[in-house]
Amino acid sequence: MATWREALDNVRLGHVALDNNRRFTVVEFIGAYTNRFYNPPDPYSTLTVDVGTDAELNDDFLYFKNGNYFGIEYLGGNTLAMFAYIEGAEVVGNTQVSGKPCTFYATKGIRLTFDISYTLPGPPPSTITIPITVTKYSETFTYPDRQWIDQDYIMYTDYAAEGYNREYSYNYKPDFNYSLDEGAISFYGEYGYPNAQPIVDFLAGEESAPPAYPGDPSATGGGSGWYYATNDTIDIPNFPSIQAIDFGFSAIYNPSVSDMQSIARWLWSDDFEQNIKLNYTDPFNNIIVIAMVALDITSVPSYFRIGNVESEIAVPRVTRQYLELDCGSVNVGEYWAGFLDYDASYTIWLPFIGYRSIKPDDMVNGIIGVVYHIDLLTGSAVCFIWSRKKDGIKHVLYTYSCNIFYNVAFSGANFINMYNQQLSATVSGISNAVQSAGQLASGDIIGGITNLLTGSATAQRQYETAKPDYGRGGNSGGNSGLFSIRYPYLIQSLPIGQAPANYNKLHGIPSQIYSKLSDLTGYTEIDAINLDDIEASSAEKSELLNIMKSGFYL
Amino acid sequence: MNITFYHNNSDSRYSIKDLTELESTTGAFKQPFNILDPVLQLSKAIDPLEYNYVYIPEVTRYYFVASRPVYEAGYYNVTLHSDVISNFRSQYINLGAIIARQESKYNAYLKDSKLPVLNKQDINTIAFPRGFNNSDELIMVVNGG
Repeated sequence: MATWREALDNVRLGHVALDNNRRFTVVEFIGAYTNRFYNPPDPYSTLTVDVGTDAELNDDFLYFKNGNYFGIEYLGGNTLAMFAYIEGAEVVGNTQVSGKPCTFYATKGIRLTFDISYTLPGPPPSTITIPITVTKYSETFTYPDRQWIDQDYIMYTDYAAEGYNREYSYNYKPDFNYSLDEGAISFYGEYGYPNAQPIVDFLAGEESAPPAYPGDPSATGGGSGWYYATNDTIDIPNFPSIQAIDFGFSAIYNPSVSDMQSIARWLWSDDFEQNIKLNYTDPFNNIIVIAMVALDITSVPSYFRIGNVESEIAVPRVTRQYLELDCGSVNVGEYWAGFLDYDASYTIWLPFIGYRSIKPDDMVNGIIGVVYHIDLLTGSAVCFIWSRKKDGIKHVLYTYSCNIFYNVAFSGANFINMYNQQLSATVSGISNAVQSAGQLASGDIIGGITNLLTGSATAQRQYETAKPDYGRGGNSGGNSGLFSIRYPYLIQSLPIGQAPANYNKLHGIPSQIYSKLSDLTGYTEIDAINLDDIEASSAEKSELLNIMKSGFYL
Repeated sequence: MNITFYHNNSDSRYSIKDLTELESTTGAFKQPFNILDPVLQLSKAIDPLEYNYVYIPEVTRYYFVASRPVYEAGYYNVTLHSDVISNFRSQYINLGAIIARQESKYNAYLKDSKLPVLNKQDINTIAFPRGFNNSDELIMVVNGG
């Protein structure tokens, strides 16, 4: 076995060139050695690597078309880093005579990482390159980019030698894989520099599977979840902490019809004109909105006041700007206690909003509640739909905004604005008439009908779910809301399963449990079982498994 | 070789058969022998129309009669088929398995593609206990106040 020094005799520094046909001998390969701190062991095994012709040189890196690379980088000073990457290489014989190739046989993707450090006495050359000759590759693989990871930089300074010696060790493990058929990979390069004594470590990596094309190779994963899902209460929020009516810029009154008549007379009275007309040409400019609401209003006795003028008309004044309307909750049980309950569709009617779809999983086998939060200053409201299941945790799962005012026009301009707003709301409501739930893809009906011809239950269910969903109405906010149903209600569309008599005895019902067969009776279909230990011929075992999978009786 | 003839009253998929024993005799397998689908050579004294199930102790197996008898001079041949689900019950009964479908131990929440579902739905409405009032109030929002 040659020493590492002898092995480097034919390694010289020079320019990297594909056509040089000079050979670079890597002097050390230490199997699964992964220690990046290089201390020259003795003896070394010698590895000579041939670099084939299927490669190209780019920025001092030689890239092989199948993804291997051999690179040289001059790092300045006395530093030269050389590295090669052959993933998954299995060295056959790790003791080589200097200058002779070492063969790698890769039955799948191979990985080999090595770094090279060397000691150079004296001042560095201005340029350092390594010639490389590629000899053989059996695959072509293209990487869009090269990436370097796990770069270590270790420097030893030994001033004991003549001049100065520095060792630099770099370990690059590029982040890509490639596949290579069985064959020989070798690098050849020439390295030479007066008194240069390069030291090379090979760090054999792990075998890896050939990469999928395109993209990264598949890998195992998953299966180690937390098995715990955080489930926090999401409750109805509180009202805003500030009421705009407390500013003094506006007030909300809750007049009766006769109060309104008195106010109207007062607004046009001489007293009003004398005190207000200096500020407004139209006293009705002081009225922001008159609306009807279908709510219980909390108010306190007061006299009607507009601007800075107080009348003698007793009109209750609203002191709470925000109101909550709790519509209560309903219990939505499981009709089938099976998968059909969750194939059902649910639509909820929400006053001043319209029909909305609700996902069965959100509420079936639990309770669902509806709460409105209302701003009496603007009529704006938010509807919260919450649910609570057996775990007792309350979740707000749906939120819709609306306006609950029936605006009363009190001037020509006011009426036109109100009418236009209501018209646009109605139009948008019409466009939403067909709810999103159950929208039919173009191919569904065709496939459903085709399958229906087979008469199978699967075909029937497919056709049922392929039925177009019909919208039940548009939006219902604003003025139209007061004409609509004023309480929420659920529309439950339950699929109707119809199992024939003795269905379970002839078909069985999906199980997916693991069980000893001795714990079961009656009709059974096996999904998976190991019959290796059954003392039967292979033909009998095969038939036994087929019968078990197609159904038999225990 | 001893042979016992039965009439099997059960579906072929039952691992425990309801058998009516008829008679026993001796016979021979026609060669070459196939343990899954052997061919019996039997005397014409055994009426092939009476039995549909056979037990052969020599191979410790029960067999279905798989084909009509083929008559030759003085005897007939009948093809048998191994009743694997019965023959190896004692060996597999204590094995564990992942069960796809079962008569009584099942999970109704799993989708059942075999279950017929009517092409119509049951429509129900569930009203919430409260809502907006049936009567209305007036609201007037003014400047100042």
